[in-house]
Amino acid sequence: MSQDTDTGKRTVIQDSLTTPSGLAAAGLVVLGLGLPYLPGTGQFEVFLTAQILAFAIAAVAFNVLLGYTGLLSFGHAAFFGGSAYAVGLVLRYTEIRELFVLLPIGILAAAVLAVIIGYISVRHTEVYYALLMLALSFLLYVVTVKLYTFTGGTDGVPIPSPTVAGVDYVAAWGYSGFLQGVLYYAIVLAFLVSIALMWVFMNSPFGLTLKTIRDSPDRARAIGIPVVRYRWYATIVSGVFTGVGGVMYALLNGHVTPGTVLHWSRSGELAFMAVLGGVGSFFGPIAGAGAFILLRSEAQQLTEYWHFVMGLVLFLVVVFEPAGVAGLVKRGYRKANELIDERRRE
Amino acid sequence: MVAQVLSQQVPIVLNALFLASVLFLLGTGLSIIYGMLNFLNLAHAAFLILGAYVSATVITEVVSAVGGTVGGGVLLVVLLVGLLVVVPAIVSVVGLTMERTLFKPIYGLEDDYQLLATFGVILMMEDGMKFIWGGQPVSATRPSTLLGGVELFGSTFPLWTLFATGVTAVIAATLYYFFEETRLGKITLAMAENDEIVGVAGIDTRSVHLKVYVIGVGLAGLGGALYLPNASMTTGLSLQFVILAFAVLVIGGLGSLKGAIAAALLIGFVRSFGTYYVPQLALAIVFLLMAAVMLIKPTGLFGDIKA
Repeated sequence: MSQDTDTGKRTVIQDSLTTPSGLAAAGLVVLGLGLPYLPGTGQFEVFLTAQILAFAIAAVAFNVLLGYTGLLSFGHAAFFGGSAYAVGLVLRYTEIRELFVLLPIGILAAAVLAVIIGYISVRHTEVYYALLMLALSFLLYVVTVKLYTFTGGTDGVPIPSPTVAGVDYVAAWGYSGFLQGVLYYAIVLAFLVSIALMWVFMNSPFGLTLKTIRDSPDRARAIGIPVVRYRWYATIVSGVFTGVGGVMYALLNGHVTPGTVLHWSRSGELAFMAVLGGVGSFFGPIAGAGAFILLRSEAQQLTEYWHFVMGLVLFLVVVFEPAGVAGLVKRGYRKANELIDERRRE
Repeated sequence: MVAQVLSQQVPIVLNALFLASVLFLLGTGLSIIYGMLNFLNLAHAAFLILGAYVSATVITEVVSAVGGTVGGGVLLVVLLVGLLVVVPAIVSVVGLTMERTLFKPIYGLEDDYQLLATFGVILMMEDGMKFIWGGQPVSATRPSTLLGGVELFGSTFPLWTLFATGVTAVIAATLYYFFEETRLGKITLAMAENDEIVGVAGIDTRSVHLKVYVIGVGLAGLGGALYLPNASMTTGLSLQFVILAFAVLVIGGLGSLKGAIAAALLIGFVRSFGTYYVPQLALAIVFLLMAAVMLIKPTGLFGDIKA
């Protein structure tokens, strides 16, 4: 079995690399790696891109549940903020400053939360799953706000820049150099590794099992798949990678508060990114995260009432283009192909 | 000794009843709209916030227009009419306009997507209210102060809490009568089972749908009107009310009036006593309660519809 799937996988990878979209993706990766050295890019552009990448990890992770397992979560802020807070609290109470120690701690925190919250929530599906996730993540938010002596309450906790492999780059290169030369690449790396791992998961028998459950839980049960347990596993996988996004966000932002990482609107935003990008596509949520962040920064400059703009966009996307950006691109691609075909025939 | 204990406990009980009233009005509207019209509106609680904001404006306007010229009794009557009739009516009109424009296109979507779309609606409504009333919390306590307090066991309790509880009890009884005895109520129950068959029987289901929807939204508006004179309101509270509304629905059981009453009382008492004894964790206890009920009895305390 292993050899067959290995060859199969290699062909799949080869096939997808030679398609236009595969080439475009490869081009984007190269562009992403070179970004800090491009003429005209300053600290702001690098920061914005890093932010998009951090959210893109979480949005793709979110879509593991919504797109692949058919579960809508309104509680992913618990994983995103849980890991961010784990990092923040470790920095606050211990002398640990090392990125390679902080990251596993954050991931572990997200995993523990996902195991517990997931175990409770997967007893239900659909709306009730969404609401249980919402209630349990709000629980975490409330506890964090109320236990202010330990957590810093609504003021949150500062996240000083970490050392990387023992080297304090901020002291050596200044913050700007650290951001553009080290932190940005750490986030790009985390992004690439996370996306690759999730892609492998989703194209493995595990991912296929999840899709089976999404399409028909009853049939999945009938062929012997332990549906509830697999939904739990999916929640854990999703939560862990959302945690990676949370850690990267915390390090990039330099400060976390309950309002920015644990609040339910963060969960809503991740759902927003996934839907905006297209839940039917693996890579869609990456585009969704980018579109969301750019749209939000435009709306924030345009009006004080940018929530209204975002709400309207979300509403319109759900009603008119549920397949999101990915759906638009696919349709555009098909249209273009049809046009080319027509021209040829003429 | 007894008087001392009572003077300590009675306010907590009154506060619990007050909270329960507001939660009942909010949750039962949500329960009717979801359970019977099969429309899951995450933004339902925003109608309660809207009701409270409209009430603040109504109270301020009425007081500034006629407050100086009429006696306290007349002013109170005018204010009560404003809160109990005008506010729910305004909220219903807003709700109806939104139904026509925003909600109708999403009725056909799956529950999950209804949640997402109405999450967008919450964002729009919150900012809409912020645009009209500003971001500051509003409060208008005139009706409560006019109604005065009652002296019991050596301390004074505002009568408004009792009044709100009384109004809610009357509403609950009316709703019970509506669903058990009236034609429209029975049609609604039948539509909850199967609206196509009801349509085939020659009944205009769209018109019934709109009527029931307006009742649900109006109840949320009334909840806001009863809430405001005793407390202040900001748009930031909408999430709390969203979750509490769903907690009522989940704990009580979908589409069950009895369940909504029991759940509202349960949450009201837990919240009120919790706030007094463990203020840090009062809200958390409510959510734990909700999670516990969902795990132990997924259909809710009184629900028989399968989750």
